[in-house]
Amino acid sequence: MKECNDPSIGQLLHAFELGVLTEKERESFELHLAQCEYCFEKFMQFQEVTLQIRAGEEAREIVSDMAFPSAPSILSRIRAWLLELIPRLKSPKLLLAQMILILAIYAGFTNWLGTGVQQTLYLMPERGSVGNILMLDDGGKAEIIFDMSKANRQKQYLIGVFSPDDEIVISNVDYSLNTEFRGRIIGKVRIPVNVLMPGNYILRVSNENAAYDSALYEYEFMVK
Amino acid sequence: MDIDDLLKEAQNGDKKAESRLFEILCLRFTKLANYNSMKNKQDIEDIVQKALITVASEYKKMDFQTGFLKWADRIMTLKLWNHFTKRRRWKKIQIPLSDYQHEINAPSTDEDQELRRMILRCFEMVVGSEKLYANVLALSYEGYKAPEISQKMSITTNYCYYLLSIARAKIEECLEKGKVE
Repeated sequence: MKECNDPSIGQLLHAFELGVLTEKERESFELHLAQCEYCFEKFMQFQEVTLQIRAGEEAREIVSDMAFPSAPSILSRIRAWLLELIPRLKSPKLLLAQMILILAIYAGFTNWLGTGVQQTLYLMPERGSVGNILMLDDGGKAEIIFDMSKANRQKQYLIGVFSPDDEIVISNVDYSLNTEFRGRIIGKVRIPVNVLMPGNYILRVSNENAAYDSALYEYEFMVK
Repeated sequence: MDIDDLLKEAQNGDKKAESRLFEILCLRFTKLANYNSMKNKQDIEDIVQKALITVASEYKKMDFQTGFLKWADRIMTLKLWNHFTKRRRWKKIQIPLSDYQHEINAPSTDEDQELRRMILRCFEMVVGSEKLYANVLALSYEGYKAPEISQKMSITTNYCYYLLSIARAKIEECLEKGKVE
């Protein structure tokens, strides 16, 4: 068989291999694998790779060098080093001098790390002419301001980020509505762009009860 | 009576045929467990039971285009995989070559080393180019499941699955072509 008999389920293959499916999902995915010639072949052929990713020390090292959660950040390494160093300092003057030096280094590093966001977000002007990006903060979030002139401030809205093939990527984005001095209502969201792969996305605003089906506004933006 | 006739009769509600069918499966599954070097009798019984329960709950609804035994063996194979990975016994599951083509002839040590090196090289390339994949993996190493990973990364679970499937495709591509586009 050249193709998966249900690609929407077949997409879960790597999640199954990595053991990140919930128990219920795993059980139903097993049934799919048993029926789908294509996925089962892929699973069998990929076993060596899966085992290396899940169990191999080298793979784990590679991941810890690249990823955020388990890898200690530079800042936390410095912090740990400082905590280790402080008890060894006995003279008060020396201690004070060291503390000043430490704070200077710490502040310098914090400042330096704060500029480390790599993703850049661009609003495509042809779709959302009012929208603009104010800033990217060091947590990798981008603030988008967009036109909500048709909005009713008493109502609740549903805002989500969609991929171009209409898959929801981030749901229930927190937003705020503000009135400009000329009376126009503008919306403001903060999108964690560091979790988006490069590509085009759509920010969709719907009435709360419409569940994204009928969009009041759509703004296309690009993550590079 | 061959297995297909037995299956048809069991699917039509013949209890005797059903009981015979499951006896055959029980033996077959035990053989498959032994073939994959399982030694503990209790573990083998547990896994065989789990596989038989799944077969029993599904086989009447199924239209077996690829063959009933092949399907049943896959159910057992996946139960074995689940058993091994849960206990952190990292080994490949194999199905006897006489039945299907899945058994991979044991590569020589050199070939094995070369394959491992290549897998690591490709893995490193993909993890390097897909930082989000690295993040998902790091959280999976800490024991989180996809819904928790998605929550921690502020993405939807579907998008998390999408990321994983893209990364997998890239590893496959790299293993095939030696590079990632």
